[in-house]
Amino acid sequence: MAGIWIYSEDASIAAQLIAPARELAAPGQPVCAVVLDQQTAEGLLTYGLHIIYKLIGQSEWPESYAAAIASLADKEKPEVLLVGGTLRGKDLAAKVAARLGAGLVSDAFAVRRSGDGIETDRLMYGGLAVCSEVTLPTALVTIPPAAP
Amino acid sequence: MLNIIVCYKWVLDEQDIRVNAGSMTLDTSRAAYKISDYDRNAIEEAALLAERAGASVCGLTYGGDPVKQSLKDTLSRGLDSAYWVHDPSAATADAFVTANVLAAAIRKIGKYDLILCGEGASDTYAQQVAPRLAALLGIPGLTFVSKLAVEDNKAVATRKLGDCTEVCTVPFPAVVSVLPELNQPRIPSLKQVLGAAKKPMTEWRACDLELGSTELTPKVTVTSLKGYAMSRKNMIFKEEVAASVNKLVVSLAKEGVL
Repeated sequence: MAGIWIYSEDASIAAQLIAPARELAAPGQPVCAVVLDQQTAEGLLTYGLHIIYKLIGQSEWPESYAAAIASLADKEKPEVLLVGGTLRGKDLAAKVAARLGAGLVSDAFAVRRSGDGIETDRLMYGGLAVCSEVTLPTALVTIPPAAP
Repeated sequence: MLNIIVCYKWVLDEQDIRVNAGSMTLDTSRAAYKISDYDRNAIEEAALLAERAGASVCGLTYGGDPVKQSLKDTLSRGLDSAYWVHDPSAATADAFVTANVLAAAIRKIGKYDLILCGEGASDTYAQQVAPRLAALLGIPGLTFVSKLAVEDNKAVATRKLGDCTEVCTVPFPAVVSVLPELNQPRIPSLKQVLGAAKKPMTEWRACDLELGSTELTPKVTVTSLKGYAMSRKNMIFKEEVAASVNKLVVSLAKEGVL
């Protein structure tokens, strides 16, 4: 079954994505993580995720893994990919979405299921309005990190 | 000579949008259009690079009928020519569609070393188009750039990433999205405004770019757009600290937030 995936280059922000991912997951649907380093992988081990994909490469620049994450997603076909909304995360998410030909919602403050896809809420016009949008799979969403 | 393409969006000025009380619908009837704020920084940077190093600079935009009035505006700010993908699909376009259209237009323009974008649009602020363009064109993309210099066949850019800055060198061709601190956009002189009318403008439809319906069908569809009201309870607890904290906790529990 296509899973709900999470990704952040930051270990603590990756952990923050587990709760919204679990909420989205249908009964029995796997929740998986994509990580770039051992520390983040170990940090997520205790949460009982279905699969943790660790990408191993030479580059220390997280954004450069966009192509690798896109090809992994293209193979495994996750239903949703939640990305920690740091600036690096947003850059990577847009590059992954472009490679997959997928929709991406930036800075969603709410994510829920809606029909065959997901519905998100985000602010527009500098906070003047709330925009609700539906995205069909594969759906990418960046979620602003919680204040430290 | 360096070839620069600056992408910009013609957006409603959010300061003129009113929220109708009660229905919370948006009233855009009195809203004027403007060049999206950070795109003005991208245009200014292109104009500065042209003045300093010599470059050919063209503007590129995608939008419906109202975009026509943007062309003279952007041309008066230092661009040499402008391309407008005039297509009704823009009304419902998400970043997927917008990036597909701009990438196709960039390929059709053909000659480019540097593609400049604002960091995010004033209306949606989704910050997606620049990195998407880089991925679609298969060239490097540097986002959140606060300082930019051009040397021979490469750009040296300082990225501002919240907790750190990063100095990157990137060979051309490349996409760069810029932050507002990069420069102070100029106010065009009368001569520049008059000169804008004589500059070449090219109008294309989506069909001129050989885009299929898949590329023009948005992946993200808006289901509702409503005014956002921050509703506050305005409760103040004025007793001594321990009692106030107790009341606050009880009150929060009652709201179901604890």
